[in-house]
Amino acid sequence: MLILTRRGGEGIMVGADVEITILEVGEDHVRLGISAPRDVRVLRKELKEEVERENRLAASSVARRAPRLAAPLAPGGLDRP
Amino acid sequence: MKVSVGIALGEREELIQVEEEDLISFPRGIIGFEEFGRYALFSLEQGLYLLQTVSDPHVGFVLLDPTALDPDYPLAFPEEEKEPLGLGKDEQPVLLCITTLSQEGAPETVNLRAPIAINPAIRVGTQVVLQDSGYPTRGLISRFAGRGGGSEPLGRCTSPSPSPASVPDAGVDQC
Repeated sequence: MLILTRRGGEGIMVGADVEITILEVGEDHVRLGISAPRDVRVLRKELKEEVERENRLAASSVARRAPRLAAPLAPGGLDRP
Repeated sequence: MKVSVGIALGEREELIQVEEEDLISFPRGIIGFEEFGRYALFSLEQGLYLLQTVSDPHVGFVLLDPTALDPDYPLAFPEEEKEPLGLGKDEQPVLLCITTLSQEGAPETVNLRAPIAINPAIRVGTQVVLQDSGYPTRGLISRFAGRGGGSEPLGRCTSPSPSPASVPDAGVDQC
């Protein structure tokens, strides 16, 4: 892991497109500003992990328990506004 | 051109032909499944949908329309998520929420925190995390059943569940 020391107002570049700026350093927290291209998803780590876990549970529940979905499947379904 | 979409149904697998132009592209993937960018959407019975990647029969999601449970959902959709979907300021995506099926194969919980947002006009989708919304990732559907059209915001624990006896507790967010 790369370890850097930065002060408030300073920044870090990750690759050519992702910029992290140290906005504020408090006693037990740091405020960061992050700018990234639209195809890069920026999330708090614990939230990303929670959603990922839930998505995996959801997908495996479908793969294991969905025989009743065998009813005729119609493509589309986006006619609503 | 037709594309074959495999769907794992327990022990067996169903192959369904879908027009390629009907596929929905997910440039950022779905969280935890970033390697899959192309999905087919199927209508199921009872207002449910199946979002199935064309790349793996075992990766599919059963979705429901959250506005059927709460017409006000979501309280706010982040503006910065619109541009990647090709939506203007005054346009809204179609939002569908991922459910987890019970042992019996019926939707049991719903992820209101991280809905699937789709722009049907250009068939592009993404999973949006409503970061500070207070919506649960694992809301019990039975909690909201029969509450459609009610004034209580979906999934936000403003009052005790009306019928706690029927609500299984194990591993489920109770706020």
